[in-house]
Amino acid sequence: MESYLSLLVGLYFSASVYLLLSESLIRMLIGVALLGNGVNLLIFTAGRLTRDVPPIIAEGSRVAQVSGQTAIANPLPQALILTAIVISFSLFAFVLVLAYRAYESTGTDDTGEMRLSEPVSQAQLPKGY
Amino acid sequence: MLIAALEGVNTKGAMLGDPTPVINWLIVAPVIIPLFAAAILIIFRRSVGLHPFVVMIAVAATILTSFMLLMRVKELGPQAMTMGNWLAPFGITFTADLLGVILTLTSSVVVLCVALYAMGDISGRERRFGFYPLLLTLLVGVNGAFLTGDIFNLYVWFEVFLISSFGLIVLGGEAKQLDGAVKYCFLNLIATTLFLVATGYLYGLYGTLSMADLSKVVGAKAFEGPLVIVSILFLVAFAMKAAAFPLYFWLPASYHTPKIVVSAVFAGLLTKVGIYALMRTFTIILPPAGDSWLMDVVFYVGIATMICGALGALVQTDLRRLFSYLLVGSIGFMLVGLSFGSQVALTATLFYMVHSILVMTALFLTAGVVYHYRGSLDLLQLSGVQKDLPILSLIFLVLVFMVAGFPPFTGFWPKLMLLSESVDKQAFWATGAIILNSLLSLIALGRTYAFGFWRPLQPAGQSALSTAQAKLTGVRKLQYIPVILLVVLASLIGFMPAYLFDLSEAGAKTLLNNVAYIEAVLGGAL
Repeated sequence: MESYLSLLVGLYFSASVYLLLSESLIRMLIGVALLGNGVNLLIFTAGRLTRDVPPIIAEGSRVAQVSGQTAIANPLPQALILTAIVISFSLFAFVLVLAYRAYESTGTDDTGEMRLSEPVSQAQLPKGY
Repeated sequence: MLIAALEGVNTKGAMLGDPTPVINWLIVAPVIIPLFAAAILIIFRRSVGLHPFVVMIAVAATILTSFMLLMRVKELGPQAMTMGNWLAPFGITFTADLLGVILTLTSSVVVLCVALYAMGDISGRERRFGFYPLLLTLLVGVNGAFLTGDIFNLYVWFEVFLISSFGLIVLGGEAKQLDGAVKYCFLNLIATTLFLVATGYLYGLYGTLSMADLSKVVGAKAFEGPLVIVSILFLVAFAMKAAAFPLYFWLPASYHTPKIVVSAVFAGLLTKVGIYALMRTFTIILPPAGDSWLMDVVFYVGIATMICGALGALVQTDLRRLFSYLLVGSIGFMLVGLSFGSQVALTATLFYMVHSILVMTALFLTAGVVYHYRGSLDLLQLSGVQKDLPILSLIFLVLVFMVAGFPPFTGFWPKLMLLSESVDKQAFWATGAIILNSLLSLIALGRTYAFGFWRPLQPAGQSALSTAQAKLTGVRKLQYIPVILLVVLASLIGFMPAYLFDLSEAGAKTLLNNVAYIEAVLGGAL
């Protein structure tokens, strides 16, 4: 199971790198979203996968035991992912609005043409005065 | 509930038995105080007249607590505090060692100066959009990153100051700003995501994210296999944050677009958090990699950063872009210091970080004052400042000496230490690069002084000047105070380097010998 998920993570990453390398802001945004999901899946896989064993201690018991198994699902990666989802969601929302505003005020969604902050040709200082 | 369920189970090593001593709350105070103040400011969002004063009080309290913490850590060694009942490898620990606390104190001082400056620079409208709360949460994130003892928590603090910086960089909303912000936001978002990837792998490998615990587990392992991948990911992520050689292009593309106070605080703090994280990961978390090939990579990246930063500064005409390139160049020094990994080099790196935080902020703030009086920061127009503003010109000249590293000033000491270390290690590329960077920086800044300050007023600057003069009000005089404060502080450090040197040396010692650090966090569980 881990190997299939690792392949999926790889797929997410390659797709997001491909999209991020493009010059269109919309594609870059989708790339960022994919990257965030890929990372979440990666943390999930890195925490090892165990099926049908929730990390819950039954009443009256000292150890978590589900159908005779003592190994339980690791709850920490899930907590990490939850945090990461919230963070990446809020940052994505910000970047989404930013990209729209940038498109509105610069009139282009092509990052190659967004040269307001770095003009293509720049006047040089004179040699002396 | 939990306690009841665990009755009869020995939880001594896993859970907190006694309540945390009050004095240990000092460790989280530099994070909690500004966070609390930011929350208050958001509640009173509309009373913009109140904002600067709340910020002053909060940041002054942060400075005070950081200073008390510094004294305590200096005396007793690294201090740790655990929150939420679970002890170190399970719970999240805040750990204060000298490296973190020195940087916390410096950052808080810088934020105080920036807040003072902002009183005359940030309008009521921008205050309503949340300039001051964002400034405080930026400080929260930065201080949290310096003080946390857990690597996932470090990621969270990175995101805290990242989102605050996003808010600050778009404040004002001009087209040029949004253009710069797009580059800044995307690149930094990708960098933190890479950091998260590395954290995920690290957890998958060792099953722990506490820095002290990792240091214990990883410390003995050889530098090979998956650990190499994790280290490379950390290096790329933090180098991107710190604006190191092939990944620095976002910085000069964006730092000259926001409000001048905002670029001043960014220039002072943000890149240094990346360097701090590199120092932390490569000394405490990962095995002593002083002689591994990865440190050679850091070494050459540092040299390339120094040269590219200085060369970039030479061709700029916009004052803030020029300073941005100088900032990139200064990152190279810290990387080279880190790559040497010896005690002298780490001392120099820490010294240089403090110097760079103070001086870079002062440079940008000086540019801000010039902009208010002249209406332009373009060297093709800017001229005749010396005649009209002699005190400011003197301050600028002192800052030039500091950046270039003239003997009694701050920049000189860490550069000297790094130079002697590079000669000792026979790393002559570094020797050459340090000298070349200082020379090129001096040329770039000297030219700035000659054209912008010394040159008589040019007709090209006349129109910008008259627009600026029309807008000039009495409040602008206030803006001299933070600039003078920073310059005086940096000069004092330069004239009496022994204090900071001793502190940095002790900090470097803790970094190299992390037994005290591990003991402070894991205590009896060791």
